Amino acid sequence: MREKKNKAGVEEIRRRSMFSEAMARLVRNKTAMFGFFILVTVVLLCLAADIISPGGYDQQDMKSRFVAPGLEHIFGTDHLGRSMLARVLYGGRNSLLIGFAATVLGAAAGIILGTISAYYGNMVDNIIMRILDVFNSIPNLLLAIVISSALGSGKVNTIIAVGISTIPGFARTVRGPILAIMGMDYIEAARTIDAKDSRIMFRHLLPNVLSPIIVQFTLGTAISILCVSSLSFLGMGIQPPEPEWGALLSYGRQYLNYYPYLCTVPGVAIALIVFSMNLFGDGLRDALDPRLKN
Amino acid sequence: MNQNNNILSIKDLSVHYITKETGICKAVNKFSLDIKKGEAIGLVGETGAGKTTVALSILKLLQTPPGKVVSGEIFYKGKDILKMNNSEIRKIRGEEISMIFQDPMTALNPIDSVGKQIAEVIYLHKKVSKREAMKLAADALELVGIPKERMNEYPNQFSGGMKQRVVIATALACSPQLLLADEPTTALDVTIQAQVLDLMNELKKNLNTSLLLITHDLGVVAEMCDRVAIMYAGEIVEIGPVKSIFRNPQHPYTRGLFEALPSNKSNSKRLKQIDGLMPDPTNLPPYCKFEPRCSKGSKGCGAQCPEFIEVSEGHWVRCHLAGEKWG
Amino acid sequence: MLRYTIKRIIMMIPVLLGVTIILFFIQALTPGNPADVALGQDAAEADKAAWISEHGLDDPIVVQYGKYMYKIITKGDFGTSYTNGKPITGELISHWPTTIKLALMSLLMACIIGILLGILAAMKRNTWIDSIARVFSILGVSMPNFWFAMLLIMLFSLKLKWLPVSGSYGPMYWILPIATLGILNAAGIMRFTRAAMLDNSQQDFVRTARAKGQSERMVIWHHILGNAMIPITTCIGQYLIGALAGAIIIEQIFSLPGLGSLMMTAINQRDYPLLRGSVLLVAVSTSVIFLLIDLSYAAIDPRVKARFKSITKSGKLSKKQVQKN
Repeated sequence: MREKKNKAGVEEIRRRSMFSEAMARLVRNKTAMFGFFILVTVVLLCLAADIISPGGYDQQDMKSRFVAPGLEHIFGTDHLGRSMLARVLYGGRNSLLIGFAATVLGAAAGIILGTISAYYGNMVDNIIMRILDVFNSIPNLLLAIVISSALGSGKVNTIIAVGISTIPGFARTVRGPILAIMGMDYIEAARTIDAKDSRIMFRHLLPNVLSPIIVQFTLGTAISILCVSSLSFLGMGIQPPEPEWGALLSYGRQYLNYYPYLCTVPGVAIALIVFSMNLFGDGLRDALDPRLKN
Repeated sequence: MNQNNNILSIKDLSVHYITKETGICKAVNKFSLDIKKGEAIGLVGETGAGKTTVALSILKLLQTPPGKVVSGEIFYKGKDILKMNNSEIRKIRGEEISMIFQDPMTALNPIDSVGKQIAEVIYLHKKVSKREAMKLAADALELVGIPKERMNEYPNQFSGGMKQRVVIATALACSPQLLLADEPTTALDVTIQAQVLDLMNELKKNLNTSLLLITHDLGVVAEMCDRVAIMYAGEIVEIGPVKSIFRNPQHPYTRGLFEALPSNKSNSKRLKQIDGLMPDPTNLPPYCKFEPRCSKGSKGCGAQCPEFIEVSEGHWVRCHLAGEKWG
Repeated sequence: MLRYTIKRIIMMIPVLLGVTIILFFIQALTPGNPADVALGQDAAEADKAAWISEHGLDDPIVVQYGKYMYKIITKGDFGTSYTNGKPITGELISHWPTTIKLALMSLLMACIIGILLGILAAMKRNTWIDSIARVFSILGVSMPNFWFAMLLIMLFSLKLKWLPVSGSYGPMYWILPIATLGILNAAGIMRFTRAAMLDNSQQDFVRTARAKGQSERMVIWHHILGNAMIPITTCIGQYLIGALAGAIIIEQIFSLPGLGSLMMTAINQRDYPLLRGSVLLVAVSTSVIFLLIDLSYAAIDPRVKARFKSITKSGKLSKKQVQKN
């Protein structure tokens, strides 16, 4: 018994030191830290929307319509004289929040499904994987569009629609590595001492697939944000007057010829946030799994 | 030593691996070696001694970066290989000097049939059509004991020993003057090892090929080689005829290697080991590299690098204590 | 090989059945009355009821599903559109070519740019060429396609006036939509190609090829790229599926009459049969693409081919295989 405890302790130390090593690698990675810096800046700006634009996103000023970006209105104003700065910041809140929440939802469901599937194998695995095959045969965005069209627009519905479309990705991320680990001796050992299934899953299996989950989560959030804004761009998801980056772009499209800044501001915002997440996510992958690095 | 007899002559070769993380790793230091026509030389040493680096340097196959030849010359038939341009060295690779790599599992391209892989080297160097090259490849396969019906099969359909035969057939397809064999049997089962060695021996005799055999197996050296060079931390510490070295090893490291072999004469139950590890190649001592592990060392050993001393004809050793009687 | 293909095609059937079930399930969850949209809010309740029963929407969902599947299997009939009463099969046939053309042309462009740039970046690793290629790849992956499409419109249509903004009246109208998806997907394919090339250039057999005296050109194009094509094929298949989905949005922006436009109409009009048919068509295409990826593996990689043969013969390794190993 004591030996087992010792071993667990050693395992714990090994895991912790691997983690701190990975973090050290991440901090040394300049591009990743650059991405992290942009990410944090944009997120903080969006969170501070109340402070930066206390008037809210819907404050109209018919006297200053279509004001080009300048000193008074950094990002200009729209056809109702609303400040684009406020709309982009509040819109960012929606995009980021919905994208993040959807990924959390998809990750939770996907991880549970993937783990159960790999752990119980045979019939259970077969059924779950075939169901995921069905979802897999419809491209992510299209799946989100179909679900969203059924549920209707709104924040919660969009979170559900986008979240469901990310489930198969997470399930597969988790299932592969767990299947590989399942064959290892220490899982067999845990089974022979009659450890509970849930204990084996949470204590032995999941910690070992933490790295791919973290990476998939970062890159997945970027994809979800793209998905949310695509939905809104198509007129689903978040709908005006509530701002969202994709919705803002859709709105600005009609003024593309005369007031291109209406599109530029939200367009750059989406690209920037996804760009920074990709930089950071790639850095995370390199740091957590140095073998994959090229 | 007649210069004209040498097919290959390496002079003062130094190779460094330079990386940001570890700094300068001195893999090969002032390495000199002559290989005569038709001669088989064994290059023995433990992992990390720089044996493979030497072989790769001979064919200019070092990956640069991180590898870099810092100094030295490698004369092949009087021409310095290191100064050759790409097309000159390409004519030599595979035709005049060929190499057998350590791991047959990964040395073959998985998407080409074995026949095509052998034919590739023939087509590159002989003035034949692709079809004729395939025919010659079939002959080469037969030569290593694989029926030519199997030449359209892919590496995944062959076992490790069979793959190594294919590798040997490729290496010998153009009847090279010099064969570099980098641990050709290490990755194989013991039973297959003997077969592969016999095969190489036979082919070598028939083709009168010179051989540089890299190994850490002294038994293989005894069976295959005329001379043997013992390598330690990037330099040769002892070199001489196989008989002379096996009967009368002079360098403490060589002795350590022999003592680590199981023998039916000694009655001790445990094999002897050489204590300690090879010095860190990024931080080599400026004196005898073996001094930290040497049990015989005297005070002078920690002061300067020993020079080669000839202890008997053709038997050279790099040790301050060479020639002295061992207790 | 043929048996494997047939087996895979048979395995598609449950997946596609699953898709139809999910689509029906989603439809059952959808609030609102399709008759409201088809006949207008103000239509008489009796008319609406008649419309509902005419389209069989008052049957239990299971019965509706059974009728729907029966028609598809026996007659290849996907029903008629709620909005214009046209048969859906015909609607799909007339809109499908636009989408597949956009997806395939953009993928072709993406492959050419992406694979060539990827090889270049890998061969010039850690030089400025590599750096630029990497920035391009990560920017391309991060750029929403609809925003990139608008940027191209701003530059080439509005500012330079070289190309039309939108519509479908000739080859000129196709350039921007194809370029949008082509350039963005090229970024992803480039990134993947670079990684696969670097990975394979470290392999022992590459050194073997060099030791044979093979030229650097052949080492790169045959030995390294030949093996790198195995993962790259998967990547290309994934991007083809992505291009199908992307085409749906891009068609909207450039007003191309493809499946995407059809789908958006179906969603706005609550035209369930039309939406079902369109999504089903995409699902079939995706499944076929997955199959093609797997089959092309066998064409490139003899290891996979051997496995296919042994699987289809007996489910286990065949005798011949065992002897050989």
